[in-house]
Amino acid sequence: MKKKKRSTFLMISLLIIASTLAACSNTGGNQGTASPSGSPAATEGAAGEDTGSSESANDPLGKYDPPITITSVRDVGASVKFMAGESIDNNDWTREIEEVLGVTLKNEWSTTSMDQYNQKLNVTIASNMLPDLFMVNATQLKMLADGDQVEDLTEVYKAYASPEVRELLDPYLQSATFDGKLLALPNVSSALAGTSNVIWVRTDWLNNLGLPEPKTMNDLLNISQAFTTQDPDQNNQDDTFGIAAEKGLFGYPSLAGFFNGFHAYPNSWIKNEAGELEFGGIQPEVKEALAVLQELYKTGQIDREFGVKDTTKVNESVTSNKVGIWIGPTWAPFFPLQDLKNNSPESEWKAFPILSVDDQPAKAQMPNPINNFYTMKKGTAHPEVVVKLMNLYVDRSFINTDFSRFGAHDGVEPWHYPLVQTLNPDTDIVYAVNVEKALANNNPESLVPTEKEIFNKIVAYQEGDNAFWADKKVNDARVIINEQWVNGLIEMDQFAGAPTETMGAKTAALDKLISEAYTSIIMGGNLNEFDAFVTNWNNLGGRDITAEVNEWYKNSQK
Amino acid sequence: MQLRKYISEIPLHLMILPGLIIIFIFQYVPMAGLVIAFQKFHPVKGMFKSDWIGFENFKYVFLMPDFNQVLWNTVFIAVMKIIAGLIAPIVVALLLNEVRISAFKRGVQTLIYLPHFLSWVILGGVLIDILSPSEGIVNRFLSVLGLESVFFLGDNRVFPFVLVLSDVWKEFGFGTILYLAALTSVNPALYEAAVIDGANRWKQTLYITIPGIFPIIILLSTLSLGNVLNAGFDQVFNLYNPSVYKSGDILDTFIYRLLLDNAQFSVATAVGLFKSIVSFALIGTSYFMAYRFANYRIF
Amino acid sequence: MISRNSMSRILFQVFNYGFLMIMAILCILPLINVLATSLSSSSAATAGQVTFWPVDFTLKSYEFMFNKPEFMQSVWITVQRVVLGTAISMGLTLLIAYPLSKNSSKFRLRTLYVWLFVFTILFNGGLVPWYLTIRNVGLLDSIWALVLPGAVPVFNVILLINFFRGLPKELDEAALIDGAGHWGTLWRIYVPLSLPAMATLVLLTVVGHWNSWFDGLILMNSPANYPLSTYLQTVIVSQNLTSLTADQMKELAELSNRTVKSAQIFLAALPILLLYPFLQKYFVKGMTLGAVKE
Repeated sequence: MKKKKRSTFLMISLLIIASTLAACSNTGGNQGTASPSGSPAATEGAAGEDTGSSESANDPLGKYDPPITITSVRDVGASVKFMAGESIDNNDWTREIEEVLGVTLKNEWSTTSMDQYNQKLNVTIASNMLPDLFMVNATQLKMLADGDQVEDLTEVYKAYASPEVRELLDPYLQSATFDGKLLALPNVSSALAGTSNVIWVRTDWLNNLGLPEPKTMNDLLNISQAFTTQDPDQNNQDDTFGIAAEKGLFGYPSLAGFFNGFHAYPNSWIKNEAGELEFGGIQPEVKEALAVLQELYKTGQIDREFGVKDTTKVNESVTSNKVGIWIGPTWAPFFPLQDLKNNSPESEWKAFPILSVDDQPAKAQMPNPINNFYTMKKGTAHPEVVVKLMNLYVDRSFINTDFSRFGAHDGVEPWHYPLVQTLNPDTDIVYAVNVEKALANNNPESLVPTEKEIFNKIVAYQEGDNAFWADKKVNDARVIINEQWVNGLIEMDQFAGAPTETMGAKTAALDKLISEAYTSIIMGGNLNEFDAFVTNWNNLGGRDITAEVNEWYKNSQK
Repeated sequence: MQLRKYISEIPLHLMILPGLIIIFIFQYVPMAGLVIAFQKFHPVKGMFKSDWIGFENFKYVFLMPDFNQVLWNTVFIAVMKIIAGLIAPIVVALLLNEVRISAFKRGVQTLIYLPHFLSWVILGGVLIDILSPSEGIVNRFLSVLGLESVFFLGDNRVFPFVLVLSDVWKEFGFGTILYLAALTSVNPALYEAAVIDGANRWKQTLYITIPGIFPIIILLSTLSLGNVLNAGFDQVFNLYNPSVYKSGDILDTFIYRLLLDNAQFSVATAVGLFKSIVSFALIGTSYFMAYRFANYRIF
Repeated sequence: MISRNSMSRILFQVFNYGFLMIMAILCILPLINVLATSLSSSSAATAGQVTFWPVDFTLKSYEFMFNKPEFMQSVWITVQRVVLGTAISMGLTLLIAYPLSKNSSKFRLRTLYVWLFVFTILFNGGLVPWYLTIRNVGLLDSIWALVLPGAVPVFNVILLINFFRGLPKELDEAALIDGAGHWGTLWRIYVPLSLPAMATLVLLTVVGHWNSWFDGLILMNSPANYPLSTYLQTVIVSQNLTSLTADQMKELAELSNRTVKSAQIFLAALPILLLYPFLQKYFVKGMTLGAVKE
């Protein structure tokens, strides 16, 4: 009995000591900016003390004199190359920002893949060891907003942003605004080229079967059936099917493009006639599309095992000549269609815009183009740095471009180097259209280097080098998307705000509900399950989310 | 007399000291972080100033729809893995023990440890092929036997068993090594005596070998009880899909999806603490019962 | 050992060898497939054409990894961590297992100590406190961060305790009579008799250190300090294909996930393939317990 008491006592005292020690270590970490030397905050603190650092008042590209040091963290992709002796901390761009802005950007850590970056960043955020400037995604931004860990950039944006930057970013600021405060600068991605779907059809198979190119959804369905039953690869085996799908339905390849043909927009927020926002995934058009998909599954036009196959597995269907219709973004030829081309040079694919099921033209859905944001840690001495870096980037990339330094050269691509970047939703589309024009006129003179590179590759393909087949096809697809963009046939996700309260709590459960319901119906469940699903979705949080989304929408319209 | 005993024990305490210091610094000090489970953790406020919300985090997770299903799946799959994962290596170790050609024995030993190194990312792809209802080897084999093909990875009735069997295949090599090492320490003199007494190989196995490795069997079973809520995130994550969420979604995959959209450390810590407490209760109970009823300390 | 060549015995042996062989083959087939995939072209791999022999033999995936200077560096880091880590772990394991294998009568507080250690494999405060602690001790970005935090492998300790307890008590008494103290007993008697157990633990520890990548990721700030497994982890492009940037697309296009992943796995399995033959001789030989004659 005595022994037991002693051991318990020892245990407790040990735990108390442990907690005390942890307390000491944690408070040290928490006093971010004021902690003693040895921490990165020291350099930044020193810069802060340096209030003598003068700069021309509110000059978008004003230089800091004496120069300041800003800490950051970085993901440097595995395929990014540097000149000999250079690195992410030492290259043409770092020298540029030093010369022009007097800013030295020092990376506390770096990773070589986005997955790793996110893992490390999550730990960094949770332990409150933030660098001055860093890139985050929407979930992390919400975390930081809730934890009050980042600076309010509203004023510095107004004061320092150049007119060009304002033009580019103003439409997208809502996604980074919380309670009226701008907490980050958005990085606009080239979403049209990157995410909106086109329908890729294998045209050598069409030729083998003597079928015309599809103009409507019905045409597509006929083609799908022909691909499944009429042995389009002519190998005397019944091993082909029509449409590729993966287990998550909307990953890659995506069925979103299929749904779009029925005017259904899964996972997207659309405006109804009353001017309110509704969730596309529970609308009756989705049920219509699911019914057709069910038919396709029953008749083997969709792989019977699609429900267990992930992207890598589904790619095998393409490269082993099993499937003829692939719905996905414009870059599908790069991966996996080029692989097939390398193996089977006679294979040929063509992109088609979303085909409609009725006489109303179909629209391709485009999700929110903002995936990443740039934030500055709360308490940092120079919160306007992020704005200035953006100003400089936009200037050097789009206005006073210097391609000898920042265009591709000597095997390196310096446009990876800047931390703070942004594009336009149609950046790649614009390039494609220009390249198309240049090809038609056989005149590449007015092309910028990025476009010229594409131009040269396509010319090489036209002269017989199949390795660049993908570049040509991708360009064609982007021209098609441009058509749709110009004709107002892109359905943008209407919700552009930060994730709402209920979204954070319930999205995982609701996504699971959607996956299970859709998959079950496609694989043969009763269509009425859909109605039950809609009720469930609403009850499990969907209704609350819809209310929150509309609240945001009302406020954003003011 | 007491003093002499204390002094003679001092070297033993000294031997433990370095290890004790290490685990104190690197395990016990961070354990203070468990308090996060009871807080609404704010990184800025840190562990000691974040708001206390008692059991809210636990309630949040326990009351999620599907939680009960997920918990049941986890326990079911984990228990089956523990049982199968105990039997397979013992059987194989005993069989290997009978092998006289040492090159063969060494070869097999090395080879069966290899699946351990294959990640589930790759094995996922392999299993999808093998278990395919239309082209997979297993189903072709079944049709030769006149049986209907089974959609192993898409059928809720079968999926958990696929998880268990493939996991056993992957990890049994590890246990086999341990049991084989234990087998080498059974006193050969006992076998000689048994042979003289006329016992055949089977009887020898039953009365000498198995009892000889009994302690380690008990030890490994007890320790594996600590895994009863760890049904294997890596494996399930790479093999599951919406068709089998019902039977295949486990605690860890459930939490993973939750945290993707809402990176809350408090919730993750709460679930971790829940798992730890259950493991501790199970192991503690086994230890206590063995001590009480058999006067045997498992470790 | 007299073996009787009865019919049932022969039958059993046939069945036994056959069964074990089938099992061994089943275990190695996937690895052969992985090796073949890693040596095949990207298109062949994605088409699922590779079974047990490379298709369109190419060293591209290995080249891709080896070409980076970081590769050789990371190998060196891993070698350091394996050597240091295993030495320290084994040393500590021995030091801890010996006292704890004594009875409570010979060593009070024994059970308390055991539970102190066991507790640490059941409870942990989570990723962030762990990271903060290591950071505050100043180990970030150093090889010691990979070696010290896990220097007490409690599972191994428990295994060794169990093993030590199986040694005859007469050994202790004999040693005592010979005048050896605890240190002497441990090093001169227990250790030589525990070679099979120690070989097993060395194997487990080496494999653990070789494959451990997560700590390398979180505790090392510069990719230059990554151990091999962390470095290999990085060449796998994200599975989340819904938000690819142009760069990631290019990466995907340049190399199939599958071939590089396969090369990665093969490299991960390599040390065991090389190490096992060395340790084998300790496993197969039984100990001679004839040290103590009844």
